[in-house]
This record gives sequence, structure tokens and C-alpha cells, in this order.
Amino acid sequence: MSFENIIYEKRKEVVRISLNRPEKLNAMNDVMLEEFNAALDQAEADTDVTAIIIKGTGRAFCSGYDVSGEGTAETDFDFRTQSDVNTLFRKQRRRQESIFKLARYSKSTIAQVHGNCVEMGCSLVMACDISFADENAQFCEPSVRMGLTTDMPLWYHLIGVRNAKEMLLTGKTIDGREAERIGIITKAVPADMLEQEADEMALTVSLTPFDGLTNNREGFQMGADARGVAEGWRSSSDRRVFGILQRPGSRAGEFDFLETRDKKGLKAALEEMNAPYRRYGY
Amino acid sequence: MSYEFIIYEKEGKIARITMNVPKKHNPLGKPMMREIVAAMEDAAEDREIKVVVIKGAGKSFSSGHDIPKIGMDIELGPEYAGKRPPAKLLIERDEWLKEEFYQYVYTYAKPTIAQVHGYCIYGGNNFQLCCDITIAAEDSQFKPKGDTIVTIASYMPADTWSTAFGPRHLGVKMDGKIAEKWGIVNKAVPLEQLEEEVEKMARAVALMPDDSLNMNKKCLNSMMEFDGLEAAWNTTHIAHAMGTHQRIRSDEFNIFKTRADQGASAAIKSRQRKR
Repeated sequence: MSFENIIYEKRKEVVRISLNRPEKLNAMNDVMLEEFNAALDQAEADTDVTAIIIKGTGRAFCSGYDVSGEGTAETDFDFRTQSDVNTLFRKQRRRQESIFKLARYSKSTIAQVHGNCVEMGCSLVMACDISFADENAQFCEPSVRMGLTTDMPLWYHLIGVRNAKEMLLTGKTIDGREAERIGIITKAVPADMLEQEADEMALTVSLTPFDGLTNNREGFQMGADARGVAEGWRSSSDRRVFGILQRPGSRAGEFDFLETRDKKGLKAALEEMNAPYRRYGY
Repeated sequence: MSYEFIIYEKEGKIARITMNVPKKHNPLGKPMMREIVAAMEDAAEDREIKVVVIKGAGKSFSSGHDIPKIGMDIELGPEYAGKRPPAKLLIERDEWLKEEFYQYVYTYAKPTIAQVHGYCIYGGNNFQLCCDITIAAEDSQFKPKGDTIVTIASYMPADTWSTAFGPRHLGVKMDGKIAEKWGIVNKAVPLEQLEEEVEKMARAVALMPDDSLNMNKKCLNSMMEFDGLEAAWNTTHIAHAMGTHQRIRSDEFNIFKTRADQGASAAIKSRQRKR
């Protein structure tokens, strides 16, 4: 399959999947979602491949689901045009599907993060086995500010309830070092070491007996599921639908993202949303 | 409603509950806990309020359940005079604490921020663990001064999720910085910055839509519940109830006997030795 918004590179046993909408900070729109799913499937079906690296082209890793309203029938949360419950559940499941697929992948997964890593970008990172980030990469989950919730269950399991509540209830931004400290990523490194770290990890993985590695990873997953991770995927996905059904912003006094975006454009809407928090250091 | 044991203030979108028995470091007796819950109920029903801040007056956050009264704070009839209360009544008391207080705080719909300074020990620490986010002064204390006065299994199932479970219960000294490192609190700051840090966070949180604050909070609480928290709530307090039934050996420090002979203050002081 030829890709427009993804770059798929295979070099021996390692496939590198790059999110490729650099002018939009790799925001995931409908085409990219479709292609990302297809890329994951392709690498999984390829018997040469033992590991995949997920990265982004341009200045950022990923700025989350595309909420510009253009080419985003699947990835947006516009309840004004998608208000029937069946449609909302169906689309939300489809959105979470690729993250879930990544988390359950049968081959090793490595994330290589630089620049902005926002919302669904964090989901991609946390779904991978191992993740490396530039020390100055910026991690953020701002869904709460838009009236939404995350559809990623692993916040709790990776960083603990205290850190997760702080990230999700304040929508704050932290750097790569802090992300390593609390456990969102495995390791923060200087920018010029990032690519090398990810490549060396992929090489290490390719030298490990593949069946043994697969067994280990599956065993880990079984243990995690027994602890409620499997429930967590369904629950967080459904909760996001409930969030959309609340019609965020339509109550008096609340910031209405969709209306503001339609009137003033995406950039202005995001700025208007985030500006009040800066006064308090958030 | 007028409060005797707490100060309850509302300002804009922020409600503040200050535990107010500073002379005794704000012990969490039943009357105090009832007032905290009543104030939180009021904040829950007030559509203006988005976030609740919990703190302590005077030198400390809270010294926990009334040490002078532990093991004795059950309403018992005269037939139990001078006798050890039966296990059933101890468990009922602990169920009250679990359901009417700790679980009430933990399941509270609106976000809660604990502002901790000074002593935050025993029940006081349980209380802050039930809040969503805690900011503590660097020199706050999560273990009492001196040797362990009494050790009773923790109520708090949340303890078992903390990597600090071991150190906490073995009596390792724990100040705000160490508590931050072990994940018992989110952040430790110099005491003089504490109020401002909590203010900034509360005001930022108060900007968010309250539906999404509630949903995000519930989402995270659900993850803990899938992980077994619900079951843990129903069992950890039994260990606590049994703890007050412990037999203390003749060569071990006996809080119950020392308190009966010398009074609570003297008993507590006798465990504080210069290191």
C-alpha cells in the first residue's frame, strides 16, 4: 500500500513508521488513522520483521487527534454532526483501535519522541514497550480543558494514580526528563542521541531469540489484563463517548471549543483555551 | 450551619476546609470527620464550586485519629466496662470510618487538593491519600517523632499501591521530600511557597469544565478499581480492626497500658528519644 500521511521504511528486521504531516505537527486525521492501522498490519504480517519504531517527521512527534474539522470525520469529536450514540461508539472504537493494536502488538514496539507529544501522542508512546524521548520533548494531555477524557487506560498503570490525576486534571505540560521520572517514557536523552538510542534498542531486540521474546511479552500482557487492563481499554473508550455526549462547552460560562474554532480558526481556539491557565503556571 | 471543629470557606469556585483543633494538631475524631463530610456535601451541591482544598490550622495537617482514644472510641454500653470490646464492634467502627469518611472523600465527585504541612500521620495521612492531588511542605512529617507508638495495619488500600508501603510501615523517617520521591504526595515545596502553589493549582483546576473534571477523575478511579481496589477496601479495614486487638508482649512498648497508667501525653512523649 502506498502511504500519504505515513512513511513506512523497512530495513532488515526493523520497520520504521513515521507520522508524516509535519505542517500539522503530525495531528492524526482520517487518512493518517487509516494508513497507520494499515502500516501496523503490514509490519505484523511481514515475517522478516521483529521490531517497529514509531516516530514523527518535522518538529513534533504527534499533536494528538486532529481537531481542525477538516478531513476529520473519524477523528474529531464534533457532537453537532455526530450525535447519535451508535455513530459515536463506532467511531470512538475505531480511533482507539490502532492504539490498542499497538499495545497488543506481537512484535517489539519502540517509540522515538521529539518535540510536542500531546493527547493521543502520549497514548502512542505509552502503548509501546520501550520509549525514548528528547530531554526537552513536551508531554501534555489537555483533554480535560476541552471537556473530554482520555481514551488511554495505561496512565494509571504506568505513572500511578497521583501523577495521572495531576496530568489529567490540570492538563499541564512536562518535559522529557519529568516524563522519564514519573514513568511515561523509559528514558530521556539529549536530542542528538535520540535516533541512536532507538536504533540500538531495535538492534538489541533483533538479536534476542524471537519466540522467547514473544512469550515474555505475551506473559506480561496476560498479567496486566488480569489486573484489569483489559477492562480499562473498554471503559476508557466508552467514557470518552460519554464525554462527547456531554456536549462540552455548550453550558453557559464554559469555553466552547467547536464554536470558537468555527468562528476564529483552530489556532485561535487553542490559544483562547490555553491562555487562562498560563496565569497560574499551567 | 456553624462548625466547631473546622473552618469552611467558599471563594469564587474554590471551597476550603481547614481542620481547626490546632492545639492537638487537628486529630480526626468522629465530630471533626462529620463536619468535614458536611462541608464537602455543601461544596458538592453548590454549582459554583469546582474544587475543594483541604488543610490544617496551626502547625500541622493532622495527627490522625485521636491517639488518646484509640481502641476506646466506640460507644459501648455499661456491660463492657473495663473489658476489651468484642471484634464485631471494632469492625463496625472501622466500617464507619471506611464508608462514612475515607470512601466518601475518595469517591467525591469534585477534585480535592490536600495542602500538607507539619504532621500528616496515621489517619491524617490516610485522609490525604484519599484526595486527588497533594502538595506538601518539604519539612512535613509522615511518621511521628520518635519510635513507633503503635502499629496497626493500615486502613488504606491505597497504601498497597504505593511503593512506599514497606518503608512506611517499618517506621522509616519520612519528610515531604521523601514522600514526594515515594509517590505519597505529588510535590514537596518549601513551606513558605506551599500556600501559593496550592492556590495556583486550585485556580487552574477551577477553570476546567466540571463535567470533564469529574469524568477524568472517575476514569482514573475506575482503573484502580479494576485493579482490585474495591475488593481491597472491603478487607484492609478488617486487619486494622484486628490490630487494636493485638497482644503486646511484656518486653514491648505497650501504649494501652502506658496510657492507662500515665495518660496519653506522657505515653507519647516517652517514645520520643533524642537521636
